[in-house]
Parts: sequence; structure tokens; C-alpha cells
Amino acid sequence: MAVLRRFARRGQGADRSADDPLDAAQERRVRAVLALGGVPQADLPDGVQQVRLRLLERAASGREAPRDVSAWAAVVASNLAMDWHRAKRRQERLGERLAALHEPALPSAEESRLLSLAVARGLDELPGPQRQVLVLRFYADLPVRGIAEQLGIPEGTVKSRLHTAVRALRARLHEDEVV
Amino acid sequence: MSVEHDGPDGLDGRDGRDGSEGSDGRDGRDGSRGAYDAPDPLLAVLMDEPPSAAARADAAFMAEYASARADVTALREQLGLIADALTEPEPAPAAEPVPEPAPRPDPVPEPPPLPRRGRRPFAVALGVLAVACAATLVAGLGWLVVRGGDSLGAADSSSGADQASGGEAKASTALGSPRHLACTVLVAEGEITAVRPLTGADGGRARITLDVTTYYKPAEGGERRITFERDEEALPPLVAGDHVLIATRVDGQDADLLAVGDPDVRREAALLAQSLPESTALPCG
Repeated sequence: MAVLRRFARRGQGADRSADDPLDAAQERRVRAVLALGGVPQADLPDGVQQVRLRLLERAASGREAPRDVSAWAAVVASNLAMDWHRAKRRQERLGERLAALHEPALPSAEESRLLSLAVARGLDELPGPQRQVLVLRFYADLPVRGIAEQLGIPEGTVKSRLHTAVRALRARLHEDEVV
Repeated sequence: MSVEHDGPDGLDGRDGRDGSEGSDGRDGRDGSRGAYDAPDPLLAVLMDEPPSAAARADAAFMAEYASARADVTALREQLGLIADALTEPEPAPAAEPVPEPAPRPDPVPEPPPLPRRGRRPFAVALGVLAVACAATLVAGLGWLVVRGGDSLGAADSSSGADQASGGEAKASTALGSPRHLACTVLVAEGEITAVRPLTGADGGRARITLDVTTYYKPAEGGERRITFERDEEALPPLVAGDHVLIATRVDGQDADLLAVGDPDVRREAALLAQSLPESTALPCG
């Protein structure tokens, strides 16, 4: 528990040290999964910290380390995003966040921005479980079987959620004429 | 099915929730595509399953497969881009927070009119976005509720993103302008008490019930409870309990949603207090 307390005290801006359970790439991925799950930017450091703590708690309890820490951390982050929504009841709208960012200087970048906005708004509209598997599959690049195992749900459920989510997103993108 | 599960990897498990939504890999689209059992093209792409020889000979399947594959590829790319954009560090906040928004000298140009209902073409939505970006406030994209193309302007708000705004001063595009205010017949603040989806010819719309706490206009006040309609898909979604600021124009029947949430409503109300006195002496138009 001393390790947990030390990490908790270390806070958000501390230098990475040898006992940090997440490397820089893993931390970036965790942040991204949290953000894609709708966790506001202001809460991302807390989310990353919680993933660290989960990993340390796991080690402190004597359990075996995850075979794939990156995949494990991505799934934990996606679960945190789901829990965050349940607790806060309102999620951050990715479309609004993206729209608030600077406009691109080049027309070609504007086209990409339009597509990004449409995808972000599509994500905003997805039910949480569908959004979760979509992010894990296509951002974290986890296989369907792995997602099912990690989330503890049937593989068919993952397929179904993924299929429904992508179908809805495709419909939106085609309707918005951005693809 | 709701089984606590720690996963084979010992991951922090989550129950199966709706494990009943299993998929058999088909979506019942086409049972008569040919002699072979045609898979769903999208599912094949999602599973990274290459088409079988029989499927490759099926032109319709391959067309759908190629389309789905292109879309999924674009989706993957976009998720990466979105993730990059959303996780970039915020710009440094202003050195000193500005307690009161500065009065703006010029009225904001009218945005192009929007269609009343239905899914708006994305290009139209972008038109509003561009106006909002010019005013540095864009989070309220899709906030306008319009009938017959009327709108107050690029009404906008920073919504939930306020917590990261660093106290940056933000300007309203509608309430800070006496000229715009002169064209409103009602400006009210209150709490949403009900959001009821409409059906039939009004499908896709929702009727919002607002319990008014403050009438800014008309000065004599009005009904304690008012209703207005809004596209169900409009952003941000409204739910009972939301604190909002709305306005209707002289020629309008629906309300324009100007702010949602205490911080935005307070900010807009502050602008309103500055502009309202001057607006009473101005004609509309």
C-alpha cells in the first residue's frame, strides 16, 4: 500500500520513474482511450492515474501481471470511461471538443476535419457499450476475442455491438456525405 | 447473463450486461445471394476475414465488402486523429482570468438560415461552425432551434468544456448585441422539466418543457411554464434538470437555445444585462 500512496502523492505532473507501471506509449494510449470514451480533458490525468493505481493494486495483491499491459490498460481505461459516464450522467461531446479546436489552414485538412467531426459526433451518439468495443477494436486494436475475454462477455456480443456501432457510424458518415 | 468475471488475464472484469445480444455473423440481409452461404460483408471486414472464393465471385458482395473496408479503414484513421487531437495539451490559459466579458463594438453578422428539421447536410452544419469559430465559440454547434430558417445568430456556448477554458473571456454572438436583442420577443432562463419525443409528422423532434425562473424579455414577464420544440438529434442533448437560456425572435415560433449549464447561462446573462437596456430603444431590422 505504501507504493499506492506514493503514486497517489506523486500526482499528475511528476517525472516518470522506474517504478511507473505504464511507459510513455501506454500512457498515451490510456489517455486516448479515455478521451475517445468521452472523458473530458481535464479529467484525463486522473483517469491515467487510476489506471496506474489499478495496476499497482493488482501487483500489491500478489496477482500475476497482465500478459499484455497495453491491452489491459486500454480495457481498464475504457471501463473507467464507462463508469465516469455513469457517475457524471453527462459525457463530454467529442464533436464539440473537436469543433472547438483550431480550424485547419489547408482545404484538404478541412475535408479531414469534416470527417473527424462526423466520426466524433457519431461516437457521441453511440450507446456506451458499443462505443467501448469500437474504441478497443479500432483504436486500441484489440482482437474481438481479446475484447470478449477482457470484458468478460461473449464473443458474439462483442461482434454484435461492433457491427451495430459501425453500421450506425457508416450510415451517419454517408448521410453527412463525408465519405 | 450477469456474471462477475475477472477474465482469463485477470483483468478487472465487468459483467456481461446484455449478453443476449449475440450475433451469429449474419444480419439476415440476404439469404438468396447464391448457392453459398453469403456472409455479411461488414462483419467479414470487422473480423478481418478474407472473402472466400465463392464470395469473391459474388460481385454484389465484393462491392459491399470493398465499401465497408474503405469505411472501416477511414474509421480507424479517424479514431487515431481524433485521439491525437483530444489528447493534445491545452493551450496555456490567459495570465489573468477576465471576470466580465468585454463589450464588443460590432454586431455579429447573421448566420445563414438553417433548415427546420431532419438531418442537416453536413455542409450546412459547417456553415454554422464557421461562423461560430469566427466568434471563437464553437461548442454550441447545432444548438440553434429554428423554424423556417430563423435564428438569432451563431448562438453558442462552451458547454461542458468550460472546465478547461482557463477563464478565457468568451463572447456571445447574440446576447451581446443590442441589435439582435431588439429582434427578440422573449428571452428567458429556467430549468428543463421534461423532454418528450414527438411522433407522427413531427417525428425526430422533441417537445421541451421549461420552467422559467427569469424573464429578461418581456420585462413584464410571462407564463411560468413554456414549451418549445427542437430536433431530437440537436446538440447538446437536453435532459430534465438542465439550466438553460433561450430566446425567440420576432418572426420565430421555436426557441433558440443560447446556453446550457450554470456557467454558460451566467456568462450569457451577464452579456444580456449589458445589452438589454440599449436594445429597447432599437428597432428590429
